[in-house]
Amino acid sequence: MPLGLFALVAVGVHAAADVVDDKVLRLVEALDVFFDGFFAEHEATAAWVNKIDSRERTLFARGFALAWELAVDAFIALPALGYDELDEKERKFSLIKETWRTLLRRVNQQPTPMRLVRPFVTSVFVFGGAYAVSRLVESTLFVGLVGDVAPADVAAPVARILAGTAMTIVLFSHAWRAVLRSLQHADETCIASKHPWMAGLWGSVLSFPLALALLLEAEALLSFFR
Amino acid sequence: MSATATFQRPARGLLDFVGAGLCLWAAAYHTPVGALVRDMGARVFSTRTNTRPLLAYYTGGVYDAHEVEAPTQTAFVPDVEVLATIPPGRAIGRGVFASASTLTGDQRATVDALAKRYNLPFATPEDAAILVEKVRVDLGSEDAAVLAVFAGYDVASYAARRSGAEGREATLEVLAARLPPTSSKAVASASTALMLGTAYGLSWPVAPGTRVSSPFGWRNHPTLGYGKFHTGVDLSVPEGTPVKVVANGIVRRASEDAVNGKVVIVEHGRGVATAYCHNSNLRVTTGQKVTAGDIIADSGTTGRSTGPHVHYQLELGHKPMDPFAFRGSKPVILEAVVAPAPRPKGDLRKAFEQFGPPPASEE
Repeated sequence: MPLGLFALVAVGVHAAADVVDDKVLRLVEALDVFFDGFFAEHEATAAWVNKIDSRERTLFARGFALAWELAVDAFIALPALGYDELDEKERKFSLIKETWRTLLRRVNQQPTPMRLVRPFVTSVFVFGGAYAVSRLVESTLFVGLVGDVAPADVAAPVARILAGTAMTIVLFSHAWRAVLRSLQHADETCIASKHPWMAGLWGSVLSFPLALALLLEAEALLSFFR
Repeated sequence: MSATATFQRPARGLLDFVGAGLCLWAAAYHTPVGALVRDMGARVFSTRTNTRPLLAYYTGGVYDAHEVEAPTQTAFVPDVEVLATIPPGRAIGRGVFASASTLTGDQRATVDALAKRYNLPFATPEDAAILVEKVRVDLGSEDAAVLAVFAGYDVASYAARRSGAEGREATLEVLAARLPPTSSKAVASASTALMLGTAYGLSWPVAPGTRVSSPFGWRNHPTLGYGKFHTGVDLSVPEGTPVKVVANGIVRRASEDAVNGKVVIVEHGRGVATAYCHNSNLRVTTGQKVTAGDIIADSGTTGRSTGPHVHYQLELGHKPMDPFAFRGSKPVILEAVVAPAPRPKGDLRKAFEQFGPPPASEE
């Protein structure tokens, strides 16, 4: 289960990175134009103007997107590996009884950036991840079925129904657990920190723009009904 | 890593197991971490893998060729000699025909099946252009039509429908994202076809037949005085000659520096970009949309230049190519000072590996 949660969040983070990578490339190109103009002004640095070509700019932008994604994986997806559940007997004798209600109460009473941002970004990533899973299921089934097994007009609805089923399974089995775990992790970190407002700030700052970019693409989810 | 969650739900059933399996499967094919794990698995068990390099997961890698993608699934630009032998015909037909001519076995069978479906031959670039046009009418996009040539009609039609349902334009990058990893070879062939088709369809920035003062390839640099690879062609025109963009596109750069002078770089999509350097005046700004034939600059001799000319550069998948490889005419070269290609050694190895020896067309 923890590995599944980690995988789901990581798929969602990659879907988000896939949305922003073009913007990163444009940013790198703009920086290159700026530095070329700057270097061109001095005789000693003029030779550096052509040092970075379009291939290297693309590689640099991709490297940046990869680093960003891995950093968000480390901050948001990795804590999902700490997910654990107690069986009936363990629960009976457990001293700590943490529920959605207790965790959300603390968010309400002692809000911090981490407590607010982490569950939000995790829910966006798990929805993005679940959609990516469904798309993979649908395309794989369609390409596998069409032709030899079934005609296209049969394979397409079968693949879509099973993709919808896969997304539902993932959302019901994993999505809420991932969000709950992220809420719990944020809560633990804030309680343990001397400065709860500063706790987990890097993770929040890095993950929020990615989640926002993915949220802006949420219209794609409606494609199931089109 | 804490493991202290005490949630009031012990459910661990078949659905959880299936859900976890689906998530792990998607992660294996849709994340760089998954790619790393698959690559390591393939190494440990000495099996073959179609894992892409980590950086190929970003910025729409479908048109990225050469260094970035694994050789079996990359857009592939045939040698200049091969490009020059593609018979005449409409640009997209030449691109599709060139890409299809590199296929073997069952990949080629998909091409023939589509031609049979439309009851059309596929023996010349013009045949290919007619086939693509017919499929385009049915699928609504040229990219989808070209994908149909290499992946099959049903698969391309499915990808086009799903892209449409998501409200996206059916470009190859969008279509490829709607297909499973097993379709990567077909996507690579389609990207090659579209890239070459776009390159064959480019016009010329100045009057056709303008003399070339320095061709593409290794040369003794006129101002630096040593052998250097010339990544474009220098078109000899008087100062102030209007420079026209060779195809529709978006200006990615309109700036000035000490080497290129006043430079315009235009991205035409499908992995094709062109650059126009040493201008005296720029008439466009970064981000501006341009249409084929628009005047984007006036020629000049700014930057590292010995006289008025246009340095025209064509890049396919970030690799500089000889623009004459995609034109019917041969360059009229003024006085080519061709330098021998350096032996691949030391710092020059990288350049040699990237650009290769001088193309035969200019020797």
